[in-house]
Amino acid sequence: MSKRQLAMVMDLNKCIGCQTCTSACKTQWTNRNGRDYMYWNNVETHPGSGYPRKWQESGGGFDAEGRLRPGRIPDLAHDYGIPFELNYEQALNLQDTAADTEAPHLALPHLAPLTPPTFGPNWDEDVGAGDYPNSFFFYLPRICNHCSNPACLAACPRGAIYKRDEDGIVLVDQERCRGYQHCVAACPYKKAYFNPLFKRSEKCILCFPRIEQGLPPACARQCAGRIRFVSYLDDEAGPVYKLVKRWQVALPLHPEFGTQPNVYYVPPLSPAGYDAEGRPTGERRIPDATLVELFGPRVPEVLKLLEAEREKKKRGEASELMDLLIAYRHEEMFRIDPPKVKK
Amino acid sequence: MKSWLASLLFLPLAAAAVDIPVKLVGGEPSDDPLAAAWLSQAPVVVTLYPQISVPPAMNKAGKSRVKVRAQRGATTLALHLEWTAPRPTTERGVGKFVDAAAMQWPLSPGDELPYVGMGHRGAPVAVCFWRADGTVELLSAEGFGTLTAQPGTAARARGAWNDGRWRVVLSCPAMPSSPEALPVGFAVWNGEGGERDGLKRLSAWQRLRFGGADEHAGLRNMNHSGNAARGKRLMQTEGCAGCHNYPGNPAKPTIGPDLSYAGGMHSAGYLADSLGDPSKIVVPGKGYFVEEDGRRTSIMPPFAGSEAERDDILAFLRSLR
Repeated sequence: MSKRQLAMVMDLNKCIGCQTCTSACKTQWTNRNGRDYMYWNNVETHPGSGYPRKWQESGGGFDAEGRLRPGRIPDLAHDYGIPFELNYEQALNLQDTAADTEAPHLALPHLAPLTPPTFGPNWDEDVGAGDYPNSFFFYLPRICNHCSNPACLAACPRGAIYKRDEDGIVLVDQERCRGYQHCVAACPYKKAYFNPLFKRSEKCILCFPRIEQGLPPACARQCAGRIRFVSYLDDEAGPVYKLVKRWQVALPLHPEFGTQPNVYYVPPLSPAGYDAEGRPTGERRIPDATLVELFGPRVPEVLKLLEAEREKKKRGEASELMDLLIAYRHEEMFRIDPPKVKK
Repeated sequence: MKSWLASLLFLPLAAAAVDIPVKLVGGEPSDDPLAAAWLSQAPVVVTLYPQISVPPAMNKAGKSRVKVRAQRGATTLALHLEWTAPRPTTERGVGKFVDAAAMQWPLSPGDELPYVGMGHRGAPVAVCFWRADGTVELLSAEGFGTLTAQPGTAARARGAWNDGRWRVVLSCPAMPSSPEALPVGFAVWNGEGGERDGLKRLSAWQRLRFGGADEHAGLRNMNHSGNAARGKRLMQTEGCAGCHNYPGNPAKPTIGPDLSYAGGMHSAGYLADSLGDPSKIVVPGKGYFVEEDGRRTSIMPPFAGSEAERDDILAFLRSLR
């Protein structure tokens, strides 16, 4: 456990799946040097296969006795997906290729990956589950949880992974890492990645160079839906404390993995489903069970509280919780220490 | 340097240790693993045991062997390792590991061999490490998890895979090639099986023999008088079976290091020490010791029985190979 813990809350009621966070992260950190296939931040459709594929069934984390559970390393092609190399030459220099065929208009090459892909992030975007008119899905943005009990750290035989005392950020010491990939297997969220170019493991660094400048991580700052709150877990004036500790509407993802994750989610409400005659059933369309599986048994009471507070707001009454979640002022979503003055 | 090397002569190596003669060649040893000069030399066969002392540990099925040849030229000492590998794996990637081989030798002076698993605190080893992707490193270590590259030091290695076997020539100028004996240990990784790091097969300390006299002194001095069958019974009655796994212990505990290959992997001297003074060399595995003020104390109590009982237990441990 670190002295302090910087934590994030993501309000899933506001995520529109625009991937601006993903782009912000990728352009900042992972679009080069062996990281091309990595998404330190991804947004997946839930229910769905997720990214990497079936990460929830890939093992890792801790068992009830606190022992590391065995995990598997995802496959590059089938679980992560190999970044597309497009056939620019073939598709855009038409003079050489089109003339040779009997039916040139049919043979016109279109822009496509050189190697047929078998998987990629958002492979099943917006597919979801359930049958019309009761089909449903929601977006689940995911970064490293900067866990208080990181399985990646516990699994590294070299002690190459450490947790910063001042903010709880979990980092891989690139000098110590020898690319054994035990962390990749051990992380139950599959948020540690092997860099095949540098032969070392890497992961989300919570944009610590930005944090040290007093700025929120790029994914949170760029979020168009204003779903991400960032502050210290013990900072009672911060939005994370208010949502996690005071209102208790933000829940950890898969707490049963045993790693004590520090990204919390406000579970998504949903409109009522329909019966066979097309009448609203009064039951939420996203089954509670789907959300309980992700965020634990407190989901139904959190949803009830959210609905009650929303009704208040609808009636024109005051709701501190709704005002907080609406996030009228973007800067109030973040409370990060100002940069330390250099001597 | 000479003085501590001389003391190594009298290290008590286990009976499992074999002498590896170093052949003196004209010029320098070939760096071609398929050279006739290597293949025509009679190899010494060394047994490799799966690493089961600390997690991540190997599945126990899988003792193997490596054939070792050694040559010394005017300036260079080179070792030739040969082992079976039905399919070579030569590329590191996501979830992909390469075949590899390494040898270690002690760096510290003194009459105590470093722990066979890459040394222990205060008793470092040097490691010459070859991977089938063509990389080679010279490293040092003071126990599991401490392996550290030694930049600026040269190590050379060349491997060739041919009809189901890897053959690798390793040559490290930093390795002492004196006329005295030098303890060496070997390890091999099968990349296809996901082996890397502590998931490996390793040998006991062996001895490179440069041609000096009376190199068996250490071995001759060992007391081999115990009764293994009595020792096995004592393992149960004296409490060893409560923490250590070994063949015939139905409890399969994981509190202390697995002893299934204790006799094959460890020197007789080490086994005697670890029974009588467990904190002398602490196996650097999580939960095996408590640390206070930088001092590591084994959670195992020293054996308090009689001399005869001690010899019986040691005889049993030596039989585990």
